[in-house]
Amino acid sequence: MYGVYALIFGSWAFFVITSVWALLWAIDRRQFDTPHDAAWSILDEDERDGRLNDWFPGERPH
Amino acid sequence: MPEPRPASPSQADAPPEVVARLQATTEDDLAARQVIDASCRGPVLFFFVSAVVWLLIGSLLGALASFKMHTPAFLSGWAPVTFGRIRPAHLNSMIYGWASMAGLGAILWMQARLSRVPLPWGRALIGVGVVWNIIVMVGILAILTGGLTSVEWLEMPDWVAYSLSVPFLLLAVISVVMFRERRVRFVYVSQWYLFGSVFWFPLLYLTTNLLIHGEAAIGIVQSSTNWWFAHNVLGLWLTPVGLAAIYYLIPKVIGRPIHSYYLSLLGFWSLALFYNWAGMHHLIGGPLPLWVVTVSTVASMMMLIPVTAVAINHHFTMIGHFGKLRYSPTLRFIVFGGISYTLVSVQGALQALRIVNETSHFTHYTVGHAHLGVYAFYTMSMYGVIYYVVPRLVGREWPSARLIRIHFWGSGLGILLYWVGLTAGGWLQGRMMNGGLVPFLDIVAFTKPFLVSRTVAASFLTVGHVAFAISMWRMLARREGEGLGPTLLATPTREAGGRREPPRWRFWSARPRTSASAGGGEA
Repeated sequence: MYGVYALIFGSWAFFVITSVWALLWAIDRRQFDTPHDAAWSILDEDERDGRLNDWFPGERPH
Repeated sequence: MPEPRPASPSQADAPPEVVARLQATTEDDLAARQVIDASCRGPVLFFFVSAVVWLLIGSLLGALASFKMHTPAFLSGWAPVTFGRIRPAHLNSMIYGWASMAGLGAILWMQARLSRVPLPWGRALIGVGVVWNIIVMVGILAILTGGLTSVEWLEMPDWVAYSLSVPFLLLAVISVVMFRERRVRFVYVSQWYLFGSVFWFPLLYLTTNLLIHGEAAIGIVQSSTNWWFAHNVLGLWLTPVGLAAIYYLIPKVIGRPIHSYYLSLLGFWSLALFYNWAGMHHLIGGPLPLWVVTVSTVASMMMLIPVTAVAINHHFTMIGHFGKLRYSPTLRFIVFGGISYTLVSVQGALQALRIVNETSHFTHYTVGHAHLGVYAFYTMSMYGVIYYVVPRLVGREWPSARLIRIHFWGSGLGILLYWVGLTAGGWLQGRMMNGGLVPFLDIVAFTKPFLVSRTVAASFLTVGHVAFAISMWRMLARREGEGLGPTLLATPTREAGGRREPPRWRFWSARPRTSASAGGGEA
């Protein structure tokens, strides 16, 4: 039973530590400093002009 | 509010050197997407196909369970198909079969795209998928043959639970490996959500099983552990994956970024902070210390912060683009899922108030709420992911627009009818039970029309699921559909000689990007 408790509380300690570490890491790497660039970052050059990039087969809008 | 930024190589007034640089960048993007999608093809398709099979199995079990609610004598003489076994078999096949397999496929593909590196260990991942399917299948058979536990959402035998933890942990490791090799500067908000899901759920699942099956939690502690888990399956496993997909695919499809990146981060971190506390509102009125339930109710209300952030972001991102719903199947499913997320979350927060809960508890209202979350939000979002991803993996269009429309309307109308029927019927049921003036059996008889509407709704859903399965089968087995067109941006034209061979790009020696963009790389 003690092993179960050790595993449970150990994993929770790991969870809390990694969460705090992730937040500090993100702040340190300036992940939150330039939201404009971050928001654009998933769009490739050919996906950025506001055109639709997905449609029903054979029904491309004009 | 992000500002528009010129980036299209087709802009007529750009200087020639800028156009040339942008064209080179576009070629880079196309090549990278091709390589990543090629690396995902085997494992992700395996997970998606497995998910569709589980969806059909779960639909059959769910429709049967629904039918038995108003016609209990149906197939009542054979123990494996009695309601007490069919219902948990339906729930487990949908959560650990359909929802988890679709989610795993979505996570792998999005992690690869967001890290901008090919997916490693493809064959091992397929092996994990095979093992996962076998474990869940054996678990479902154990439920049907009477080997189930009495713990809701954890009815499969304990050895199944421990076995499923291993693939989850492997997924977390793969996510970390891809993240370490990433070719992008920014951790996009979808990736925050994905990391949340792959770390939170193994911890949640393993902890709960150790506490409950290890007999460390007994009595009321077992109940509280049980509902902490059951509530968090939706909030810490399915919700992050669904929101990651919505945050990724809306901008991808409409070609514009999300409205506010800060709001999206606020939504993620407040979800991480508050959701974990909310499960105890399932035990309002139970023999728990009052402060435990009160803390949970407060956390449930605090969840309105991330929900509002997500709702504002999704709505304002879509403003000016709602007309595109007419054309894009992915956008239809994803936006339906996003709206449903707001709806189910607000409903859930209100349900956590004692004044509401005293009526809704122990009624069909709760079942309607659960389906609004798992189906209208999560499942519809996963449909959107599959409609977007599969054509890019196989290099072909979906074979039939009509089948997609049947799927959308069957699923959409089905879940709306389901939710409205059970919400209205459940609320009236709760009022009558609390009133104490109507005999219990009369209340049961009163709810019958609402339960019939649930079966009708299940039929709509099943029609949609069958259309979806046919689409998938025709897509993969019969090689129908054009290999050109809208959803395949990386595919050259027919005149250029068909599908281009992906360039060689090893995972461990990916060439650096030559992007001129200020974003520091795209995913």
